[in-house]
Amino acid sequence: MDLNSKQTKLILVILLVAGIVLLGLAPVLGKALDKTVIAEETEKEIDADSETDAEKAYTQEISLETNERAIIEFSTSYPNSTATLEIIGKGEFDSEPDDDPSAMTGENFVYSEFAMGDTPNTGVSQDVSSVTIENDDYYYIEFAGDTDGNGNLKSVPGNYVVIVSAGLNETQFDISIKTDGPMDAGDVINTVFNVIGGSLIVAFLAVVSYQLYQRTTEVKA
Amino acid sequence: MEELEQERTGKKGSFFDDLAFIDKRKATKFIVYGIIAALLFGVIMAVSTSLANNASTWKNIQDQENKMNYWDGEYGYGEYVERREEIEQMTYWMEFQEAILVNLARIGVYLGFLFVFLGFTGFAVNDKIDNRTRWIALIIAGVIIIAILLNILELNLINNLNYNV
Repeated sequence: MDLNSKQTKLILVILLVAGIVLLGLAPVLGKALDKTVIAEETEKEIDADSETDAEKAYTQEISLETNERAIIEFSTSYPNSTATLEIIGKGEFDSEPDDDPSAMTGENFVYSEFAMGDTPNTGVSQDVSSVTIENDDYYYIEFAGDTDGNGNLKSVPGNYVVIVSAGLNETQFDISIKTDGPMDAGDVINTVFNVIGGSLIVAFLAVVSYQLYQRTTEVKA
Repeated sequence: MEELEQERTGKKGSFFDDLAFIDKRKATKFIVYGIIAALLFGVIMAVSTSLANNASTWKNIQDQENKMNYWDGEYGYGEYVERREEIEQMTYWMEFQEAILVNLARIGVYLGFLFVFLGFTGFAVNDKIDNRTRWIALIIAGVIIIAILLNILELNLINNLNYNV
């Protein structure tokens, strides 16, 4: 292999550029794909009847593995809107005979209040099983199946249903549901890109070192 | 005599047989490579110790960054707690790596100094060099071996004291 040949130079450039690109993309893509989007809804409308009829409520099924959590951003900024969010175990949801959300027992979750300067756990709600939004409320909810009673998530894998029912009026709200797993696409891509990118740079350095070594010995000879 | 015997028979002696007949070139090589090895392993020791000493400062920075990200709403309390625990674990590793790396690097440093000692011993036993230089080489070799031995013995002493306390 001759360092001066066009083919070798091309290979070296490809190795270096690909290595740098992969190492650069790894954290960006890793962060972008850190969470898996399950649902994104804006200005979602639900009937007033949804308070007692789950079929008219907003429902979204989620499946959680061990150490996986769901992140729900739930808000409204629409007039006369009042909505309540609960997370019900799939078994209980399916076995409720009257499809009445108010008769179902929600699982516990926590929501965060991002108060600058406060110790983080003071902003965390006590463990709750439902939240109600009205006017301009916003909730950042984390759910892993249950809580320990002190604001910490407890992982209980299984299938759950996020249900949003209206208050007295027809209601509009925004909701985003994502899952953040123990090893999601972002983590995998970050690791794979780092390993491949690093290997390409090492290969580049190895080829260059070998060529320089060969050149030095040739000159001596 | 042994050297002549080797030349006569054409057989090469073992590493230890050859030690007494280290020529100037070989002795210089031993000293240079020994110093390079000692320096390299010494740098590893220094970096490892520095990393361990700065682990708590690194933890403070990471904790603050974690809080700031939480306050900025980048993630919730659950993820904040998870990251806090990961930072804690990484801090323990940064402190513990010193125990592994420094002990491994210490072996490298001792081996490096051993080669330096052998190099100077080579100068000291070489009768083709003037006596004054041989004496200086012998003294340096003696100082190096005493330094190595003291270091090893001191470590044992510290370990023994710790056990007794």
